Amino acid sequence: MGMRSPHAPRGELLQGTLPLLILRTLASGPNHGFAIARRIKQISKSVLRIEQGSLYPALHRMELDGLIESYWDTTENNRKAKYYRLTRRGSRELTTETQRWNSIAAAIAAVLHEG
Amino acid sequence: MGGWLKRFLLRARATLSSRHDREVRDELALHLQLMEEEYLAQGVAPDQARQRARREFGNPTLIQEASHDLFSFRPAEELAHDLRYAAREARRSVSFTCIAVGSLAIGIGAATATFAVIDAVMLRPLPVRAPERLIAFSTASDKAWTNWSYAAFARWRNAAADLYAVAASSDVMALNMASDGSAPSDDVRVSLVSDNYFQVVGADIVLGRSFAAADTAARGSANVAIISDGFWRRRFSAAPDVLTKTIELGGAQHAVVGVARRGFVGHSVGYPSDVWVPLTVQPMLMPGLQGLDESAGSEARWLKVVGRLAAGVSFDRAAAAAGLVRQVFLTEKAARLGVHSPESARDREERFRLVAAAKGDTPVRAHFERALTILAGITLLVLLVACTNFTNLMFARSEARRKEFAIRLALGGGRWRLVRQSAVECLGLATVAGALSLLFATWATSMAMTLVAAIEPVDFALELNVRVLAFVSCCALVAVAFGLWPCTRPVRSAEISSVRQATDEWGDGRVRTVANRLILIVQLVVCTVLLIGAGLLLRTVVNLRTQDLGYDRKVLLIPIATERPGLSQESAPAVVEQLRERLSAVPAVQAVGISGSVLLDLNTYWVDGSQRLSTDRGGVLPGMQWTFASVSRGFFEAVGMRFVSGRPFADSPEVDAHEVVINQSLATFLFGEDDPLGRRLASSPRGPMQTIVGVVKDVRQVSPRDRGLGVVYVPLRRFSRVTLAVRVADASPAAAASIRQRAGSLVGNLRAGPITTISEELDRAIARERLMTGIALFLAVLVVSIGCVGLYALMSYDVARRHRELGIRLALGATGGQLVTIVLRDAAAILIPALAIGIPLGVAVSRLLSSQLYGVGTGDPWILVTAGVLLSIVAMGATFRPAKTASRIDPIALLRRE
Repeated sequence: MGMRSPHAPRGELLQGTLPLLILRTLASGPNHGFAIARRIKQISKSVLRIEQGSLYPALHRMELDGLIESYWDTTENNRKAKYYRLTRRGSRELTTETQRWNSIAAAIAAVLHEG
Repeated sequence: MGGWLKRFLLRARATLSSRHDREVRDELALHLQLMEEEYLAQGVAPDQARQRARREFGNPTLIQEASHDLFSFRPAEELAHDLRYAAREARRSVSFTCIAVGSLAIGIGAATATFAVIDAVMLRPLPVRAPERLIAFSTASDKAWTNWSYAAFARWRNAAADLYAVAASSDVMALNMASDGSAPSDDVRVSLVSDNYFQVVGADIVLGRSFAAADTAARGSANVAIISDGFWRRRFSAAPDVLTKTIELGGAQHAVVGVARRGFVGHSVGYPSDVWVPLTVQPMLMPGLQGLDESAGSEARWLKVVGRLAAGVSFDRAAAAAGLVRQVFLTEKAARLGVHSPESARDREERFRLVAAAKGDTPVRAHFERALTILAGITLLVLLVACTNFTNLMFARSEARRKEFAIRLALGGGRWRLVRQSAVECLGLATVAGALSLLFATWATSMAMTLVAAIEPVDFALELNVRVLAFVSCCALVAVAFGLWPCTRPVRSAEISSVRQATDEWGDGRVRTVANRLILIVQLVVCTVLLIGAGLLLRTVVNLRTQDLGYDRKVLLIPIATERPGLSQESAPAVVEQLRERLSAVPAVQAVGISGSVLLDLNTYWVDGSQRLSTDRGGVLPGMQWTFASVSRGFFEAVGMRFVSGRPFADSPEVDAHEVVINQSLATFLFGEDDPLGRRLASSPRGPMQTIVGVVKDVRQVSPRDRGLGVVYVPLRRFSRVTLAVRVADASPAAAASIRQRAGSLVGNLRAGPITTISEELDRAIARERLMTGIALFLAVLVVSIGCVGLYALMSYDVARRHRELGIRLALGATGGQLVTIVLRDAAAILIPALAIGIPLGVAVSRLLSSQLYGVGTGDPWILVTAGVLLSIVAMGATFRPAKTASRIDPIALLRRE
């Protein structure tokens, strides 16, 4: 829907990084969609803002791919929410993807600092 | 491992239930709500907070749909949609659905019924362990096994035991039976088997035990029996204590020691056994037969010999060994009986063969193979007609939908989607038809089995096994293929024409219906062929029934068995003679004759062309089939046979021993133009010469199809079974009934079978032909109805399509009658080519039937004309209503509508 919060600093995600962020977030414990989005925002100090709408297609795709699984639970406010947690495959994926990301980031940093 | 399964379950859940969608909706709603609350907490006004949350989140419905698409099986969902559409369409045009499904179901059902019988008779292996290791000891044929003597069996059993195990079994015979003191009830089917029979054949005993060597150790003393599962359920209501019961057979009690596994009814297909007893009770159940003599030269052949190859032994090795054993046995036998004895001569002619026995002994196959082949041919034609009919109906259907499809295409509907929709519809119809065809097949087979069982005591377990179900599926797939063809058409035609054209009723109908017409021509060709075939078979039965048999068909036949305790073989003729005299004294009776064989009952004759006759002029070359019939002097008069010359044999027992009567064919064969009276004849090389005292006209002696069979009538001497032929003055049913009753009381302590007339005997003799003809006629009627329904549908459709053209013709001055003529001419354009192809084809195809025909040629003009006229009448009848509709078009109403 092309609308973005006007006051947000530019923090668009690179393509393909959302799943990695979700995996990382869930590595510290199961959570529901809203909490995942909020946590990504918090940790990145509001630099990384994910489009709320694009979170769910990513979550569903990952569930179908077997990286995460879902169950229903109640939140601390006593509301029914759909929780996601890492599967074993998901944590393996997190390790390999993190390594990959780090090496890419290092490579890009090297290029940027070379000049 | 479990990954794909879990994924599948997730997707299946999303496809099949709405729960997934609901969950996603709740999940998104919660997110929105939490966002809203966050804004509220930041101090945003309530209505603003909601708006902001919504704006930031995006459209939840889109996300929900994307998630649904991600999870669900799209093709499955679309298939479900197409199926619902097809079901709605099917309900909308009930008559179309009924005709399409019904005709397909009949076509597939007829083919399936035939296949089920073929499966039972020819394809199915015996329900035993490793049937492929079974072997049978036979001669020429592997269909019907040969009977062997006990001596021959014993040689095979004793030699080469490391290569194969050998067991023997008698043929199934019907015996009267009582169980545990109850009154003798109906017949039970008994086989006598060697003690190792069940082990060798590979049939398990599920309750109790198999026979043991101890059961047969003492001859005649071991009275034990094993029963089949079916018999156990039928007679003992599957009582678990059946092993404490006894059954009475042939006057002795037999203890039940075992129950065979369900489905096993012996090795003989079509002739199931209820009860098996050891071979050693043979003297009691089959008195008068030296059945258990192990010495070479004793040749009472009453046993089928079956074996099982030992592990690792090849078939060829076993065959060689068995052949060798046979050779040794024959040599021993020849030494004992003399090399030139007829026995030895016959043995030399006989070719021993070991055959694979997985499918069991199938004499029934030899019996019915011809009929089954014909039936299979006919049912395939029925299937073809049903399938082409389906094509035509789908054609008409797609034509009717051109408008709808063109509009949908114009609105951007996918072409593939349209084809798929028609295909799904076609598949649905074929599936329903396939399921219904199973019902039809079940009905048809049980019907046919009842009819067949009335002719021959055969009994099959017909089952819907994997092969039969696979066959049905194949048929249904073929039908789908036939129905799919038209499905691709609407797209093609709608593609090239604009919506305007496609919705226009004018169209270029002629080109489009060429295919339909060709299909209809094919159907009517098949109808013609079938009608001709059925007509020929019908004519054959009529000929067989109405022909001049050469004797009087109202004569009563009374079968008498003289094998009674207390009646010696020597005194039997005198007792029968007494009975004859007493019967003759009954006022309504004109004459009584006695015959050792039964007229028209092939089984009571021995027909051979190889045995040489010799006359006082010396030996006669072979080249004529001939047979014996032993009859009393009065027999000729009683049945009304006519003498060409001479007289019956003399009355005096001293003289008549050397007198015979022959029939005209034999007289001509033996003596040509010369007078045969007074000449002498010997029926075996060393037999005594007998004087010919009379020549009778040829009659249908052994079967209704006799043609030029030589018959030597010899005086009746010794016998165990005879038939009294009673000629009565008044042959009305009432009079016959009173004679029957009278005869019944006179028979006294002799055992009399059911009293019949020669007419009834004739009907029995041609029962197989009658059944065949009945089935062929039934199928021909089915096919003609299907074909005519197709014609009716096409003509109706045609008239509807040309509505405007016909209306304009009417407006321009054509009369209703002229319009009727136009439509009928259209139908004739289909019918006439169909007849032009069908009649010659029918003549050609019916050549295959020629061995079955009697008194009618394959090109019989009457049959051809009748078939043609009949089909024309029915076809024109089917066209009449559409034609009538055409003549009733109201041009004013038509113009107003335009």
